[in-house]
Amino acid sequence: MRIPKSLVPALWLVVVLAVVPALARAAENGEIVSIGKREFLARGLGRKGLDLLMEKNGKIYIVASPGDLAALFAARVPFSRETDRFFPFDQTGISPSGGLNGAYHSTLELETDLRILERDHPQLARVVELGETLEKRKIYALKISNNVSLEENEPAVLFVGCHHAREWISVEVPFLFGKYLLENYAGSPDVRNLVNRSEVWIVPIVNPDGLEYTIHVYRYWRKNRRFNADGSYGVDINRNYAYQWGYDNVGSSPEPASDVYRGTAPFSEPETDAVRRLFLSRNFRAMISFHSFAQDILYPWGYVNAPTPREAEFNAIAGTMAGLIEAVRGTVYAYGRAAGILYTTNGDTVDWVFGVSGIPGFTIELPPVDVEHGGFFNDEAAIDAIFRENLPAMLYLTDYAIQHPSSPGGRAWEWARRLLSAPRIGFIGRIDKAP
Amino acid sequence: MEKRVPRFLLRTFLPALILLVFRPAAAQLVIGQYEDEAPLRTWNTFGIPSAPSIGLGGAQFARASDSSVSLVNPALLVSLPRYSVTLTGAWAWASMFKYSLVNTGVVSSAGNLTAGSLGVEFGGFSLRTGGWAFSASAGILENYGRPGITLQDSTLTYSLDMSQSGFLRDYHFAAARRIAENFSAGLGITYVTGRRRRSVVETYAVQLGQVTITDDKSENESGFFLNGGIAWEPTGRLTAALVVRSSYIKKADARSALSYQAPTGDTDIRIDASARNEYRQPWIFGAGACYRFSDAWTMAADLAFFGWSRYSATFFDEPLNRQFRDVLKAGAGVEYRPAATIFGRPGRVPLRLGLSYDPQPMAVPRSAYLSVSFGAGLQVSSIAVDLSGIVGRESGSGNSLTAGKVALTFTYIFDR
Repeated sequence: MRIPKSLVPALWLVVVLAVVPALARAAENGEIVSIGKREFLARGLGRKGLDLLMEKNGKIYIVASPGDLAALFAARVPFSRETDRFFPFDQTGISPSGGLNGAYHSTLELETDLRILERDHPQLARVVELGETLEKRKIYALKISNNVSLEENEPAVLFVGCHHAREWISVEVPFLFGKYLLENYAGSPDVRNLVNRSEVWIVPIVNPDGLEYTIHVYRYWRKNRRFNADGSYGVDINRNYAYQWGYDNVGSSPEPASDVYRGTAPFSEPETDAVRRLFLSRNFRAMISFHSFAQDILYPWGYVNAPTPREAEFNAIAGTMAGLIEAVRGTVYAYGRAAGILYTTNGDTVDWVFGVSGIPGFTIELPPVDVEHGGFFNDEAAIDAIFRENLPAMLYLTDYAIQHPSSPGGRAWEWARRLLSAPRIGFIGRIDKAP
Repeated sequence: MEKRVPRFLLRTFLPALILLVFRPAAAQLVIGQYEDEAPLRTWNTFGIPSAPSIGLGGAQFARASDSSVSLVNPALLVSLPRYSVTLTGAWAWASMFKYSLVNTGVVSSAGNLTAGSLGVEFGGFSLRTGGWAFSASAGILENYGRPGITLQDSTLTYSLDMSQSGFLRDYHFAAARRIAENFSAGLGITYVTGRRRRSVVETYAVQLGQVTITDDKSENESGFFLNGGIAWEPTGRLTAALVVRSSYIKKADARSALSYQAPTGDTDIRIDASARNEYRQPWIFGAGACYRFSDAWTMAADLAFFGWSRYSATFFDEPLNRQFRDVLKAGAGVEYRPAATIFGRPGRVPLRLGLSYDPQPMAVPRSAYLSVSFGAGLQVSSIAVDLSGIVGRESGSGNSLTAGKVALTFTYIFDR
């Protein structure tokens, strides 16, 4: 049957009138989820009184209340959350970014939003200045813990982003994790339990100078903004950590103009020095360094394709995290030893963290999976979805750190850390403004 | 007892001190001379000097040749003939080393690159009636062009194009009054409008197709300011002048479009932004003098203060990092204007020589142009034609930048 052309606008009007109230309900009460049409029909979900929204591309979209979601979980009905495709990223309580880089944060926007989180959650959140960059920008960390102003020596977990300037999504995921913990502390016993028993440290932008350059001048800039002796710019600060720094010229480069230039010395850059001083000052038990792109979860070693003594354990953690991520909406993250899955890297964050402390450290390469799906670009509308698929993995690793406060290597590290970070040893200071 | 500095201290600390003093900059805080919003040639734009002024090192606060003077000191309009019409065309150029993504990490050049502009720069007229004088004019106050960049690898799998263009046009009206026999004052109002656009397009081949990354930023600018001046002739030979231009905010409706397209992956990501940018331009104060040694010999000099330390720029709702300092710009020149017979008519053949010192506002690196100017003209009957050039070399940035301008001004006088 052909629909007369004159009726098309009227039909669109009917669709819009039907959909808009449903969207409003979803905004207020629940989630929009999609279920495969075949699954939907096979399970007779059409007779369950669900709030149907529309059918498109073989999927049935429904507005699911929390009760509906629980029922779908209980019945093991596979579904995908689609709310983010209908509503913009939730910025409740956060200043609107929307600047030159859209929904992504600039350095100033991040500082503002961290301060807002601190203001709104004074017992749980503290903004800490870790250091200052070459261009005089501050590197900020957000500390989250109950009794945040006290030093409780709880197991700490570190989440860092934006070592590489162009990897904008790596700012958002750790930032949103902090926001999630703070906003769900009161309402979620699980979150409360995690926050009460740990310190979560989040450094969303390690490389603010580079980030600003990507926003204002060249989107694909990677390094920091060091003016090198040969007139080139930038050190790859994820090749500037001390462990096996400059191990070979494949995993990093001695050439200043190279995108993987490792700098003139380990920790020659203020950005890596800031992370180092933070790391040495707290009892960190696990960490994730977010990057993009590739959809990988990587663990040491990166400088050489050889297993660490804890290969099996790290593989199991990474596998669990990959499974948790995939369960959210089906995004597959490969996982394995960094040098095996990706390529060799020396002087990177995770090798250093494991090399000096023995704790589990992971590099998560966020979406997309390849260049043809965006490379270092992610659609603004995808930010929240990417965060949500990584959320269970971050919660899991935080819990893992609580459950594994110390290993034999960790105890030795704890002794060494205390020794190294003591003020009487001159070459490693404490964080300038840390509580 | 005389104390001598131990030799080992000299050996140890002197080199260390020298290293500290001469340590290269750790980072580039700002690009400096050629931030995106910087006008070509110089930040210190004040008026649009016509060829006779350019020949005198830019000096024009106390000496009027034509109606272009009203952009800096409208009081001098009363010293112009009853009616005048002026048109100036100019070719201006400037070399630059660091700007945008050139020599700041992405694209490097072996030497300085040059951008230029050619066109009609100023058109205006003036009239004088009784003790009053008026002028109206339009011109190009600032040019934002940059040397374009086009890169392509030999296998045609990668290309990068960068371009920036733009200008600020002004529409000016001024009135002046002779208040006393040897004293006049004037006031002008100027509306400016213009645009600036910067575009970077990068493409590279992937397995089955091509990725295109586009970064396009554009602005439509506008604003207005007042300027005023007084001129005093204590003797028949000397004219002294004070001038001022108000601070003003150059407002700009700005748009940014950043996109990533990979058709083979069905990927089309776009980040759009719009904002109201603002550039707070500085107050300018100046003093000038013109002394006529004889009917043929004249000397003029200007000193202008630019309050750049209060400059601020808000770009897409965020302040830009601009560490600027106040600067004093100076210009002076001499004119020799012998009488001559031209095409059988009595006239003048002015010859001019000038110097200009033009420090740029960024605190680091400190940078200034020292320029020499020259000019010549013909004045016969109601017509004056002047040709001048100014060439300057910059010091301070380490790149020995150059800037120059050649201007041709045609003035028609209805009643000398």
